Formats: sequence, C-alpha cells, structure tokens
Amino acid sequence: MRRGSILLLLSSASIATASSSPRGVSPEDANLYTSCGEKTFTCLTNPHVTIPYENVNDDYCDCPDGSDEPGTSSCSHLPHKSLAIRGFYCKNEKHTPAFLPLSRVNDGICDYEICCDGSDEWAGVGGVKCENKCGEIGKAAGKLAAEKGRLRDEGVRKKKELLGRAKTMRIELEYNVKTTRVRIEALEGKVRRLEVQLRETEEEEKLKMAKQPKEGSKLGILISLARERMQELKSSLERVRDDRDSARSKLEKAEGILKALKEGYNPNFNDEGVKAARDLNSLLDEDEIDWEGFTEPDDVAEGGIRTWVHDKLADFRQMLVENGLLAAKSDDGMPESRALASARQALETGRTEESDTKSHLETLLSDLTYPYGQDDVFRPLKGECISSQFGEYTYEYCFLGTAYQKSLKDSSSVSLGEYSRIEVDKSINDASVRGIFESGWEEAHDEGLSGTSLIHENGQQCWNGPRRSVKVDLYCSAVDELRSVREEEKCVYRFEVGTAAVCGGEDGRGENTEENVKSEL
Amino acid sequence: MSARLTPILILSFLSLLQPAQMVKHENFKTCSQSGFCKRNRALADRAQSAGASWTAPYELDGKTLQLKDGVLTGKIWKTEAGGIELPLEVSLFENGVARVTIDEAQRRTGEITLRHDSKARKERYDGAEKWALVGDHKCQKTATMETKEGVTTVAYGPDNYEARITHKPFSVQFLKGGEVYIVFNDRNLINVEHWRPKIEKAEGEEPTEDEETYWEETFGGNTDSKPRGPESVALDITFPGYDHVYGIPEHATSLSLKETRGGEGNYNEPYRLYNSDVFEYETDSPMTLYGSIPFMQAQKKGSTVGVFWLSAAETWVDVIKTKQNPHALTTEKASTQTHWISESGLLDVFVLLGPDAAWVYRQYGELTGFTTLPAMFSIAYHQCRWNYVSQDDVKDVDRKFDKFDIPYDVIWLDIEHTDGKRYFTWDPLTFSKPESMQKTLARRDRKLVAIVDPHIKNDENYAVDKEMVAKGFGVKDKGGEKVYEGWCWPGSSHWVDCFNPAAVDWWKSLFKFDKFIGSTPNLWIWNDMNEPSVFNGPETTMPKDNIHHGNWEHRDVHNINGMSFHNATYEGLKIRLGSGKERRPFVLTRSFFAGSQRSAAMWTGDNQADWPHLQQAFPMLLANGIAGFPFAGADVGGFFGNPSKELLTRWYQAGAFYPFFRGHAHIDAKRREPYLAGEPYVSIIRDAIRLRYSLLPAWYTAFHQASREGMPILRPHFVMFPDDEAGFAIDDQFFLGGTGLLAKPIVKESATKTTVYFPDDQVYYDYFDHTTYHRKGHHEVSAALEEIPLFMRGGHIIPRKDRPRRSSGLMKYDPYTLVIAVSSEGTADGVLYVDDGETYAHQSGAYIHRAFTFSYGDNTLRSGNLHPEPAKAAAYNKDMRSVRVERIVIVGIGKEWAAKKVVEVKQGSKTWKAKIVYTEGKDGKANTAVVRDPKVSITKDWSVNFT
Repeated sequence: MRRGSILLLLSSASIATASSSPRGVSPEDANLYTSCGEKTFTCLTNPHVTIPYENVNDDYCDCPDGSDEPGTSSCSHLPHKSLAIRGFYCKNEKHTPAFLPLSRVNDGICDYEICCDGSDEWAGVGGVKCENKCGEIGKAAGKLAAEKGRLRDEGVRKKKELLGRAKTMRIELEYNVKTTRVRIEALEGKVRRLEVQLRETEEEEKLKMAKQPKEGSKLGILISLARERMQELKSSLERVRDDRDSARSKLEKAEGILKALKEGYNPNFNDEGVKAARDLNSLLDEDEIDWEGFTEPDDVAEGGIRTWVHDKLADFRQMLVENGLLAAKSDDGMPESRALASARQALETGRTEESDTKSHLETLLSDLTYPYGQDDVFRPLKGECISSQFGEYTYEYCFLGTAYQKSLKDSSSVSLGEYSRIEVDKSINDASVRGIFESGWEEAHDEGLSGTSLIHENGQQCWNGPRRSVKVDLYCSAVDELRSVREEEKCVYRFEVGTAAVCGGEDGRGENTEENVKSEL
Repeated sequence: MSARLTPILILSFLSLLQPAQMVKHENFKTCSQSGFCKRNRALADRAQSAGASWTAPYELDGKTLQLKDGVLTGKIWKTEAGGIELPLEVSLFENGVARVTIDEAQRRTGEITLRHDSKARKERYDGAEKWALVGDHKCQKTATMETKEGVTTVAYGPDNYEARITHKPFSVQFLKGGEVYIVFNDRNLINVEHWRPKIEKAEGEEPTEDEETYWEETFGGNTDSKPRGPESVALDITFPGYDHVYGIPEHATSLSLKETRGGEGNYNEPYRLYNSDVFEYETDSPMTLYGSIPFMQAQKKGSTVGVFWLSAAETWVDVIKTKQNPHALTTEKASTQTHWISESGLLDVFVLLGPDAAWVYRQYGELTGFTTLPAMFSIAYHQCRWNYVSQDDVKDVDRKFDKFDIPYDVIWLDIEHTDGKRYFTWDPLTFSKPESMQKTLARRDRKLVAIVDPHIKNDENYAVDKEMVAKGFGVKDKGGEKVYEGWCWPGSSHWVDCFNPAAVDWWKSLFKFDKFIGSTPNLWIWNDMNEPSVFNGPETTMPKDNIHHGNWEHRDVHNINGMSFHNATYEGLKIRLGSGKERRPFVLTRSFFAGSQRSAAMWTGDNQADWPHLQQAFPMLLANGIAGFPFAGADVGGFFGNPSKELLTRWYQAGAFYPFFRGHAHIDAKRREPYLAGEPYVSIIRDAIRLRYSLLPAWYTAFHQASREGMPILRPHFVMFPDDEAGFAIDDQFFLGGTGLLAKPIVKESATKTTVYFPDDQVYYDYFDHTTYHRKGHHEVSAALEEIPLFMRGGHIIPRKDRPRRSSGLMKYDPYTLVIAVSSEGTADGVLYVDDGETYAHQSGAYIHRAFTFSYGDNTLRSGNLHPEPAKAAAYNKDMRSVRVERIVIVGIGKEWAAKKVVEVKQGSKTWKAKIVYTEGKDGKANTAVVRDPKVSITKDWSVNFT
C-alpha cells in the first residue's frame, strides 16, 4: 500500500538526519537543520512559519521558501526567487557535489549529469533504480577537467605570446608613425623648395618666349587645337568606359539575382523572395543602357579603345609634322621648355610623394585605432584564417576579416560578412541568458564562451532576407579553431571560434563559469 | 533551377506585385466567379424579387412513397426538361437523426454522355459517407407515415419528432411537440442541376446568363473542362425563431455567424468551404480556409438544433437573418435563413433536433465519430519552427528548455529536415543521426514530430515516388491515365491518392521502422499541405477534373482529400509497433473534414504575428470545437512575422488554453523560443506553460469527455448557458471542459484590465487570488501583463498536478491537488479521468475515473468510482496506487472553518487525521482552507470529513 510505503521511506529519511544532514542538504547547510532536541523547524527565510520537525522532508511543502523540503520535489512549484535552498544536494562521492533542481527529484529520470550518485531518485518512482555512477563519471570528468586545465594553461601561455607580439607590433607601428611624420615634414619642405624653383624657371621661360618668332602663335593655335581634340577623345573614352562599367555592374546584379534564384528558389509562388526578384524586371526594363555601343567591333573593347585613341593621336601628330606644323620627334628645338618641364615634373613628383606619405600615415593611424580589442590582442591574428566543415559547406573564417561559406557541391563561395567591431556581453553567464539551471556535466566538455564576440556584417545579400552576417563568439583555446556554425535565422549566422586571445585574464572566464552559476543558485 | 523553369518564374513574379502581408483575393474565387454559386445566388435573387409568386419546380410523387424499416423512399419530379426523376430517401435513425438524400435517376443508371471522352464516373458522388460517417446507423423501425392533402407526416425519434413533407412544391418541416424547428426549401431555392447535353447555339444566339457558366470555366489561367456540365445541388434551410447560427468551419470569423448578403457589418460573400492553402489569410472574412466541416448549429433561448450537409465538393453557404412576418400572431422573433450550394454530388442533409447542445453533439458524434482520446504528450506544449536546422540545433533547444526550467513535450521538424524535400528521408549532413537525436529526446520522455506531406517529389531515383507511380497510386490528370504532375515544395511533384484502398495500404507500410529509416517509436507525424496545396494549380490546389481512384473527379472529393491522407498516416503509425503494442498516434493536419477528429489534431494554418490574428484564434477554435473537432490550436506567436515581446507573451497565455498548444515560426522570422524573450517575459511565459501543465489532469478529463460524448473542450457560453441570450455571441471567453474554469486570456495590446461576463448569479472566484464575484453581468478585472483572467465557477472541483516537471510523462506518478470552488449553495463536484496516456489499455478498462463530491450539508468530500467495471482496472490501479492527493484547497468557506484544526480521513476500513489550515480572505477575497497531505490514493474510494 502506498501510504505505508511512503511513510516508511519518509521516516527512514528523517532517521537519517540523526547522524548526518537531512536528505538533499549540503554539509555546510546541515547546521540549519540540526534539531538539537527541538521539536520544531523554522523556515529559513520565513521565521514566522514553524512546523513540527517530522514535517521536514515529508514530501509536503510547508515553508513558503521551500526550506522544509530539500530532499523532495514538493516545493518545486514555488517561484525560483522565493526559494531559500539551492536545490537537492547530491553528495556525488568520488566526484564533485552538486545541486539538482527540486523539480527533478523523484521524476523517474536518473539525472546523472548532475547527480552521478543517483541519489535524486530515492523513491524509485515508476520502478526506476539509479545506481551510483560517480566512479566512472568522476574519473572521466577528472580526466576532462585535467585536459581542459592543461589546454587553458596552454591557452594562457599562447595569449601571453599574442600580447607580446601585439605589443611589438604596436611599438613598430608607433615608430613607423613617428618616422612617417618626420618624413612628411621633410617632404613638405622639399615641395616648398620645388615650388619656388618652378616659379623661377617660369619667370625665365617667359623672358625667353618673348624673344621667339611670330609663327609660334600659329603653332600654338594648332597645338591647342590638337589638345582640344585629344581632350575630346579622352572624354569620349571616359564616357564609353563609364557606360561599360555601369552596364557591367547591372549585368552583375542581374546575374546575382539569377544566381540567388537558382540557389534559393523556393517553388512556393507566394515566396517573398520571388516577389523580390521582380527587381530583375525593373533592371531589364531600363532603356538607358546603350546596348548598340557594345555591338561595335572588338577593337572598341577594353584596351582596344586605348590603342585606337593612341593610334589616332599618332596619325594626327604625323599629319602635323608632315605639314611642317610640328617639329619631328627627334627635333631638339626647345631647351627652355625642357627645363620648365623638368621643374614641373620635379614638383609633381614631390607632391605625389608627399600625399602618398600622408595617406600612408592615415593608414597607420587608423590601424593604430582599429578595434583590435584590449591590448590589441587580436592584432597578430588579423589575416589568419581557419576553416571547418559543417553540413554541406566548408566555412572559412579569417580573423578580423571575412567569413565565407563554401559549398562542397559546386565550390561556390559566399561572403557571410566583414569584420566591423567587437562586442563584449558581460551578461553571457547571467541566468537570464544562460538559463537558471545547469544542464550538467555533459556540457562541460566544451569550453564556455567568453562573452567576447566579433561582429561581421554586410555579407552577400540573401536570397530572401537580409545581407548575411555572422556573430563570432569566442572561447579560450590554445589552437585557433572553428567549433560550430549555426544559422539561427535566415542568413544570420553564429560561429563559435576558439582562440588564445580570450584565454585567462578578464576575458578568459571560461574556467569558472560553472562554479559561478552554481553558487548563484 | 534549370533553364526550363525560368519562364514560369518570371511569369509568376510579374503577377505578384502585391504588398506583403495581405491575402491575394484575386487568387481565390468569389461566388460570382464560381459558376454554380453565381447561378444559385441568381436563382435566390429571382425568387426574392418574384416574392409570393415564386415556386420551385420540384414535386414529390405521393404514390411512390414507401416507408419501410425506418426508411422513406419516393420520387421527386423536377418539372423541367420533360421531367427529371430525382430519387428521394429519408432515413430515420434510432438516435433521432433524420437524413434526407436526393439523387438523380438518369445519372445513377448511367444514361448520360460525358464530354471530352471523359473517363469520370457518371453517377453523382455518393462516397462521402464512407469517409465522414462511422458505425452502423440503425433506422427506427417504429417510424410511422400518414399522408393527407398532399402532406406526408412521418413520426419518428425518441422525443416525438415529426417530418412534415409537403409534396408540391417539395419541402420538409421538422417539428417537435408541434413546434417547427427546421424547414427545408422554405424559400423554394431548391435546385438539382440535372445532366443535359451541350447544345451548340445557333449563329448570333446568345447563351443565357446561367448557360455562360454551364461548361468550361477558366480562372486564373486554368480551365476546368467540366465534362459533366452543370450539376450543382442547393437547398435553403430556415431556422425559425433562431437568431444565432454557428459552425461550418473553417473561417476566420466570429463564432456567431454574420449575415452574408450585405448590409452594415455583414459580409457580401457566402461562407465558402473549399479547402485551400490561403497564403496570409485575413481575419473577419467568409473566405475559405484549409479545412471544412459542413455542420451548422442554430441556437435560440432554450433550444439547440443542427444540420449536417454531407458534400465533399466545393460548397457555399449564405446566411441571412429576418424578422418574422409582422402580421403573424406570434411575437416578433428573428429567424435565420441559410442557403447551401454545392458543386456536385448528392443532396444529402442530416437533421439533429436537440433539444440541447449536449444532445446535438452526441448525435453528431454518433454520425461522424467522436474525437479520439489523444496521447497525453500531445496535449502538452509543442515547440516548432520552420526549421530547426540540424540535430545539434534540436539538442540545443531541448537543453535550453531545461536550463530555463520551462516544460515542453514535443519538438518539431519542418520540411528542411528531409533530403531535398523527399519525405521519409533525412538530410544526410544536418540530420545524420536521427535515431540518436530521438533517443536524446526520449531520455526526458519527449517526442519528435516530423513533417510528411502528400506531394511526392517527381524523381525516379526516389523510391517512394518510383513505387507510387509504378503501382498507379498517384492522383491522375483529367485523362485518367497519366499521373498528375504539379508543383509544391520539392518542385515537380506527384500526389498520393488515398481514395485508393491499395494506395492507403502502401502508404501505411511506409511508416514501418524498416521502411522509414531513422524513425523510432518516439516519432510522430505532421501532415501539411493536404488540401492539397499545388503551387501552380487553380486556386493553389488541384484541377477539379483530375481523376481519383474509382474514376471520381477531384471536384467530387476535394474537401475529403486532406482527411483521406491524414487517416492513412494515422493508420500507418498505429500499426508500426505491431499488433497488441499499439500506441495512440499523433497526427497534425492542416486540411480536414467532418470525421477528421477520429485521427488527427488540426491547427489554424499560417496565421500572422499580429494582434488581430491572436484575437481571431479563439473564435476559430470554438467553432471547430462545436463542429466535433476540438483538438485544435493556432500557432503561438503567429507564423508570419515577428511578434513583439508583449504579443508573444500574451499569445503564450492564450495558447495555454488552446487544446493543441504549439509555438511555431516562419523560416524568415527571428528565433522566438520562450527562453529568448528576456525578463520579465520569460518568467511570465514559463508561468503560462506551467499553468497548462498543472491543469493537464483537467484537460485530459475534458478530452476524455469529448471522446465519449462529443462535448467540446473549449465550451462557448451558449453551450453552458443556453437560456442566457446575452452570452450567445460571446467568443472571447469560454469554459474549459466541465471544470467550471472560465478563461478570458488577453488578446489586446497594452491591456491592463478587461471586462469579464459572468453568465449567472453563481459565485465566481479568481483562480489565482480567490477574489469573489457574486453577480451576473459584466465585471472589470485587472489584467496586467503577468495576469490571465481565469475564474472558477462555484460548484466545481478541479484536479491539478502542481509539481512542474520537464515533460508531462515525468508527472505520471506525481500527487494531485484538488481545488474545491464551493458554490453559493455550499456544494461542489468534479470528475477526474486518468489512464496511461499512451496505449489502448484504457479500452480494456485500464483507467481511473473518479467523481469528487463535496457538500456543506454533511461537510464531507468524497471520492467515488465512475468505472463501470472496476475489476478490469485492477492491474492499472496497482501501478497507480501510490499516487496520492497531496493537498485539498477549499475556496469560499465560512469563518467558522477557522476553528477547524484537523479533518478525519477515511479510506477503506482505515481512518486517520490530517491537518487543515484556514486563511481568512481579505479585500473581497474568499476564505480558504488547505488540507495538508490527506494521504488518500487516487485509485480508491475515500472521504474527508471537515466536521
């Protein structure tokens, strides 16, 4: 009979308290339950509620804080925040003690992930028997913990290396900035000098020009005519090039849509993506592309145009020379303008050098302020790539660069996004994000996430959604690795990437998260 | 995409320049675009304008009438075209149901010619009953007949029913105690379009308006060859004195049906029943949806009657309400007039005369079958998404529910889990270990549901398709020889024809564990797209001239197609473990018909994540419930779009009261598993799901009652209080089974309070804080985000299980809490039904069925046995004897209870004492007392004396 059997079990539970703590109570909390000859128990956080001692662990919830039933599930309906106890304490001898949520006590499931000793199913509900598995589980867990410890140590060491390299790189960069600045100063001086030089040369030339014979003006007119014509040809070339580029980009867009259609086509005619594909239509409708221009002979194509213009110019010059309007190339008739040209050339070169160096400085400075994380820890990783295969794709991830999805079927490659920033989520181990209960040691196989993530955006436009993006969640690992890839929503990816950059220190919280959460319980 | 497909695509997006989130009306016919509907509505208009001079050319030949063994037969002559013979049959069932069937003689005998050399059958379709009806309907041999002055009166039924048949024009009045309840052909709109040859018009001769739609009809680029020409059947049915009609799901409309012929607040279109995949359907509309049950109920003060129009063809129903003739001597009362129009088949109507809802539901259940008792897990919470993308994804979601301490029972896989949309397969890369995944779920007694749709990928390397085509088990095109090819998820597809018994046997075999590789006993099935949805078909479904088994046209069987498919799936799942080891299958279907309740659950299809769709769900679920198919739900959160956190939270609170409770999301929607919502939302959602779990004993008891008596699970006011006319149109609050729980979940944005209607002067208690309401009428109650307006009507005892477990299976041996909501008269009673929740052992008596009664008079709570054969429950009771009642909460007691410290418990020959703790209610709250662990067994008779 049920009543008899449960009373028997319950009284044996109560008897157990005489020698040790009541069922489900940890040794450190045992003092809260010592009867000391008293016949009543006072609820731990509701001292106005006092119950007879035999009502502790009698499978009926008396205390509003659940403190009278640490060994049963009878208080499991109470709101989490009002519970005064951390759960059902499993001794787990030969392994680590742990607390099991009260709702999992006596539910017919051996919760070995938390209670390796099987003590949670003491009532044998539905005939369940949970043997003590702490021996094997503890051994395996110990091995795993040792291995993880070793890897973490290794990770921390690697991180130190990384930081060392980052520091060196930064010193080099800063030195580079400094020397570049000095160089720019020098170049600025040089340009000023060259400007003066050019001015002086020009003055001299003017004096000389005044003495030149009259026909110069005729030549001047012709030359300016020639210049005009050249200018015309040049701008026509430019226009043709622009047309070609715009046509090409439209073609690319159209091809992109068709490619997306091919890959992502969903035969449901109501599909949003199909609707979106009507863009293709508007694209093709546009009449501004002068398709006629592309049906001309091949020599108008890229390269062809340049040669053609060049040839025409050469012909023109030849004509000028033949008609005595222009000196033949070999003619060495204008020593003055040569000097002027050389001065102008020198200034040009000087200015170019100055602006090149300045933009180099810009690059250096922006690199200096680029989001490489604390102490530039990611700087040495930039450009390093790792890859892994998941499902029908190989995913390639280049630190602080681009993430790619490469199809195993047709070896096409899609950008999932480019690096934009670092995000640090301090709440990643909060109960509101992680969950209020641990699911157990099975999870401890994997190193926990650090809370630091690298955000990658603006990947290839998705067939039926946003531009692809990836959030790369980092965890501590001695070797760089891509552990998992999930497409949680359409075209929104989540990678888990291991790197030493988040080991140890403030970022490398992986090693103590479990403990943290348990103590929060 | 192959190059071949490009033109189709371009064509389709040219025609689809529509704003998002709106149903495409142009894809679905209006009545005037559906030839037979247009013709019959035009006939109704002509009758209307002709007034009293209008008559119908249908005459019953009195000489042909014969009543034999409860079946009246005779001939109706349609006095057109030289006289068309229409055989009449009126069957009078022992349970009081009358069935009126009209056929067409020349088609029965095959004396007609079909156009286009069609291979279609010549008869009017008479197979719907094989699918919709169950059992052996004995006719009442004692029925009598008397003919006087062109009126034949048939007396029948258990309650002095009468069918008064007027011969010319043919009409039938159904009476009880001399009062007319239902009239057939009251308005002379009866129409049986007889077969006729097509006569080519002479040059210059215009066809009449009716003739324009007799033959080929084209809609949306598809032409229906209509080899039999016009063949509709129509009848007007009047409910005199009834001002409310309900039923004929599935429509996104109010429970009390609106008028359909214009006027303020009315529709302009009839309710349409033509199972269709309506993309982004709108609320408050008579448009057709995924399923159809042509069962209508009429309600007036103190009386409920029903009609069941048995046709599987496209059907339209017009509803108008009139004031009775003001010159009549009776007091002025509204009547409801309905007009039923079907494209083909027999004219076949069942009349259910009540007198009350319970009777009507029982009679309807006896006709079409009661809802099957579902497995316990299937009425717990389901987590779905299109799609969980891999087995790791599934495991991750599974683990997260535990980490956030939220119970759930079932996780679902949509179409992406397959290998290229080939059902019965798994994506080899993302679901490489389906068995191990199911094993992981089974560790917490959780299940997996995978989708299997009726469209079979056209791929000769796909064994299912190859076999189906080779064996001729696919639906055929209009030629009747070639398998029909259309488009659905896999691209080019074929459709299994479950009207073919051999195809059904084959389909059943596909679920065997050695055929469906990777399936385990833990896997159940979701049948979607079974209207059938055909992306490139007319109105997104099959051409009506397609040919099914037996050479019936698709037109004849369309609305049964979905049911034929989910029935076959159900049978396959049932037998896969082998004889004697059957588990109650779980099948979810989108398309349904009368009878679907015997093998499936349904959901309201692809709703949207907005407040109007949340509001629309309850009226739809209530309508389904009263039409005999209560195992129904709506996608929690809304399928299309992204719900705000408030909307999601309110939807979970509402969903906790859906008989089928599943969260679902479209592939383009953001993830929205309940643990992602952040606080305070996660906690509120957790509380809502836990509320469902704690009330599972009450829900299961309600399902049991539905499976035995046909009573709906969500019960509208008009069912519970048939004399309270103020409640007849209420469809945003309802009662849960027979528990006396009255719920009004919030379905409006930013609500902080709401108005609840209490239908009588009985005491009502707030479920959570026991605030007391004593007066019939409207009461304002608080409804902050974390609050669900939920009340206990005085006089009920509610069984609960309060310990929240990870899944319902883990609650099996948990103790009960009984909540006694004491009535104004000081009494209360309640029922509890318990069985193993998964097998068919209950059919051999392995169940617990208890009646709890409490009376102030003798101050005692008793548990009595309702099991008629207790001996058959012995083994089950032994397994369950350790399950006890751990707590009894008594709500609504006098102050004198403060003095009580102990109660006396008696079980068998033993007595003992248990503590009782009294709490005085303050600020309008009831006084309560809690009996502390009376230690009584749920399997035994016992009593608790409070004196």
